[in-house]
Amino acid sequence: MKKTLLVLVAIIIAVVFLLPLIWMLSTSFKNDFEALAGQLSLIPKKPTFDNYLDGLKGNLMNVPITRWIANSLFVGTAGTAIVLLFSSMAAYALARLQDLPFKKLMFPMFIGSMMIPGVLTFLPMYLEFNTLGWINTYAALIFPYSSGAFGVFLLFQFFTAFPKEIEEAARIDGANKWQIYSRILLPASVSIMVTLAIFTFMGIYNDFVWPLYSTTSPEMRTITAGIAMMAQGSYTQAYGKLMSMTVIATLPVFIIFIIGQRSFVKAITQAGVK
Amino acid sequence: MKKSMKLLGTSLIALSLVAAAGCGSNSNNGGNDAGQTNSGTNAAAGNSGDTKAEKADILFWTPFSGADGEFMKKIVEKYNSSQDTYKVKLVIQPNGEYYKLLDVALSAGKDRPDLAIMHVDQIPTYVNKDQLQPMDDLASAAAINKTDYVEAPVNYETIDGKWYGIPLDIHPLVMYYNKELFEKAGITAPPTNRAEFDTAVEKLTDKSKGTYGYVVPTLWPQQFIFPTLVWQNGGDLWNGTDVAYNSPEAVEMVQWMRGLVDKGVSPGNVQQDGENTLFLQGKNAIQFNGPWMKGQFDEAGINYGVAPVPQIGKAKQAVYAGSHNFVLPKGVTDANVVKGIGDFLKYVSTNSMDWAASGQALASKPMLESAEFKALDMQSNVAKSFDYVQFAPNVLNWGTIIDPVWGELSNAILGKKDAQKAMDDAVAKSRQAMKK
Amino acid sequence: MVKSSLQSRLTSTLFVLPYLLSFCAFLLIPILYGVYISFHDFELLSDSHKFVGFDNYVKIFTPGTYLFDQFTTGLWNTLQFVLYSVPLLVILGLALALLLNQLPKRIRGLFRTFYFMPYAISGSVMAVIWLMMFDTNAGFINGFLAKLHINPVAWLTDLPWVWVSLVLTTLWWTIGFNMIIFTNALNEVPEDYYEAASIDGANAWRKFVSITLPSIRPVMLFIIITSTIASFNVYAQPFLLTRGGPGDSTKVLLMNVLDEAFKGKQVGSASAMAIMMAVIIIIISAVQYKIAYGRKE
Repeated sequence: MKKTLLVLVAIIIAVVFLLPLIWMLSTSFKNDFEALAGQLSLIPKKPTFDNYLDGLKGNLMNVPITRWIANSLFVGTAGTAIVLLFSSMAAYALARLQDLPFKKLMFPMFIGSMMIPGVLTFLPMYLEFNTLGWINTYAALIFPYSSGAFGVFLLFQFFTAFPKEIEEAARIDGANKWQIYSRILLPASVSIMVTLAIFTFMGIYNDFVWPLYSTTSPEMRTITAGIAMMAQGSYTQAYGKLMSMTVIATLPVFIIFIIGQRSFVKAITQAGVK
Repeated sequence: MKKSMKLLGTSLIALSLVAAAGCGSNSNNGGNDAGQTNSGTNAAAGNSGDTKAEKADILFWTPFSGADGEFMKKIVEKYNSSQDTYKVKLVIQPNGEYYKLLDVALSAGKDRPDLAIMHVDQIPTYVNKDQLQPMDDLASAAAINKTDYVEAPVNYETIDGKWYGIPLDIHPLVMYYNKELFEKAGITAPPTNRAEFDTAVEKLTDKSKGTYGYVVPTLWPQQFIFPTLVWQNGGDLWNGTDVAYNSPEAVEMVQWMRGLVDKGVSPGNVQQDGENTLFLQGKNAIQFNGPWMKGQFDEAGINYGVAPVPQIGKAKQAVYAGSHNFVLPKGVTDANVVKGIGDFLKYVSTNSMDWAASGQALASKPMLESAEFKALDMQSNVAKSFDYVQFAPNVLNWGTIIDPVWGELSNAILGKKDAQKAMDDAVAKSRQAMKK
Repeated sequence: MVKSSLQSRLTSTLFVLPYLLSFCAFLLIPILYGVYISFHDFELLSDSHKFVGFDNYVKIFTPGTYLFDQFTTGLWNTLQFVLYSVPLLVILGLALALLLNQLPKRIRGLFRTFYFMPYAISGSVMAVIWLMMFDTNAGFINGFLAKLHINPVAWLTDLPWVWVSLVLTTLWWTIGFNMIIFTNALNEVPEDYYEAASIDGANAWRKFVSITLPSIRPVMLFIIITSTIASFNVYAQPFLLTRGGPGDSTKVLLMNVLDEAFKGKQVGSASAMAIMMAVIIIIISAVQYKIAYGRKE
């Protein structure tokens, strides 16, 4: 009885969350006339695939959208890999290694950096990359994300909560720092690492402002930068096309999320340390 | 312990190698384009004495990220295939980020455009910052005549006797009306003055069907509507030394707009794009908006007409307009590139019908007078108002100065503030912005 | 523990080094450069950038100046948004995670995906969707209300509804993020704690208060701090949905900072505003940190 009630509540909330998205999906199959005028109908009267075909053929923005998606996937994957490695190592040292020099200085500095609004660093970062000659390269699209302290902070909070006994036991067995990090802490943190991976990937994938500024040629753009351009063409409100591009752009993220969330399970029992 | 360090070390080295390799090859890829243009221009610069036309690439920036981008693309492609000395590379930047991107590119100096589109009212600011070159020499070398363009933008962008921009189009505020609703209400001709407009919108409003005569926007495109009304009523935004939008003439027009809401001709609480949504649904009979909306209305399949904005104010006919212009950034010195730009602009001045097809009325007189252009119903209607178009006041940082108006105006139209009070508040804030 | 040797400290340092280098190169240097800019009359298009000392800061704190007004009205609007949104983001985020954990295992993943999906949408599309939903005269929500014989609500043009709309949109768009992190935290609570409590006869609420909450405290703090930072940096929602209106009552601080930097082209004073904004966020976060950990130590 209680369970049924909970499921019912979950369904109602799901409807609220999904309704706008269903509208988005249905709009992507509407022709422009219907998308503009018949705004809130959920079922297209004359469903059409033209919006999708136009985008994939490159009829919309000079460049085939497939190139942009490939850019986004590459940049997102490379950036995420770097963030995961750097953040987890740093968070491990900060949370677990008592003899780390300047710990008291570094941690507040990293966390403090999260509070600096991006608008302050945006222009300096651009000028720095310009000096390095990295504008319009994949390096410019990847490296700025590696400096974010979000992952360090998130993993630090999780590593701090990790039971001390397990680590102690390993140390007595003669494990060194690298082994404790790679064989105990990381496997026990699969769930939060996957979470961080999803968020990082989405963060990079969905950021459009920096990619717009740091790339100069259409071939280097990412998909979200492309969509932002479409949405900002104040000369048109091509909702059907905009929504179809959004559906295409969000598909990879959904797939990654659906695969990734399988790891959202009881981490500690799974690590098999008990 | 040693082993772990080694492992860590090697993995780090491996990672940095991968990263470096990845970036290296990529920056090569990315760098190639830039490298080519650079070496191309450098080589060309050495031979600038030659009379023979050298090949050159022209990097051309535009903010046409809407449907209009396609039309500019067509023009550029046709030009590129019409000759093979110059190659125009069209870059479409997102409309909302255009000037930020342009500022950054101009200040960094790298990848800056050779030729750019700029709105007429931005030109004085960029000239003041010493970012643009006069185009007189370029124009005369390419046989582009000042007199071939509509006077309003040319006068605006002639600063200290030098000509800084070559106009492409002029986009004044225009009136769109729903022909079906007009027919049903028994109105035969679009209104041309306040009396006609007031009667028309009363007739067009049908509460039972939820249709309105004229839905008053509270935000965009008030940036075009408010100045138009103030000028028509004999008022001014700028009186030469100070902001002037709390004058009786200006306040009366604000009251008039709010009056339409009070009379029920317009609903209250119109949100961003709310008037357009209702227009697209056939529930708003009249809309004042820019020529760029045409494509959207065509696609939506509305039976609509276009006419000049009626003279609502008591003093004179006037209409606020914008205008796209070609400008030459400072630092474009390569003689061949400049020559190529001249060649391209000369081509555009007589081959811009594709641009007119986007809904824009052209600024080149030969094009305006051509039979082809006159056959375009809407665009030629838009061009009718070219005699009395006005642009934003030529005041440095005008965008920041006038910014408080938009918030206060929405307060007044939403009925949250008395019109006089709202405009007084706007003036006070604007004066503060001027002082800073 | 044995006293740490130089070598041990060195290996410890090696773990931080990759991140530290990247932090310095792509965050610290730009921040310091940003601070440098804030002490200058830095106009992007001018060639000379005059050193003005603390002038930009002085103006922010001098009543009657343009910068003072921009900063204080923006800050007040931002603070309101933080106040309305953060508690809901935290409490409802946790509630969703708890709800998910109570659902049968088979459908848990499905619902988790549903609640998370809006997070994957970009800001501009989020705005298009919600402009349609909230439209006063033609929108979905008012259409729905009309069927229930409720008068239309001016969601995007009338106080206090603008705040309601902005907070609702934010919840819809971003709560999946907090929910996922809470889900992870709940999963880290060892099952035997609950088993022990059950044996002691504790009810669900007791277990929540005495086991769940203390166990997830570090993560809770993380969520409170990151939600506060995110809400302080709110931009897309008011910029795209209300344009700061009605009047300038939802014109948030970041909108003013960006206007100053790009519309006004005054990067120097905009940087000073951004730094003051950061200082305020840092103070608030430090207080949150103190409240969370102060009692314990």
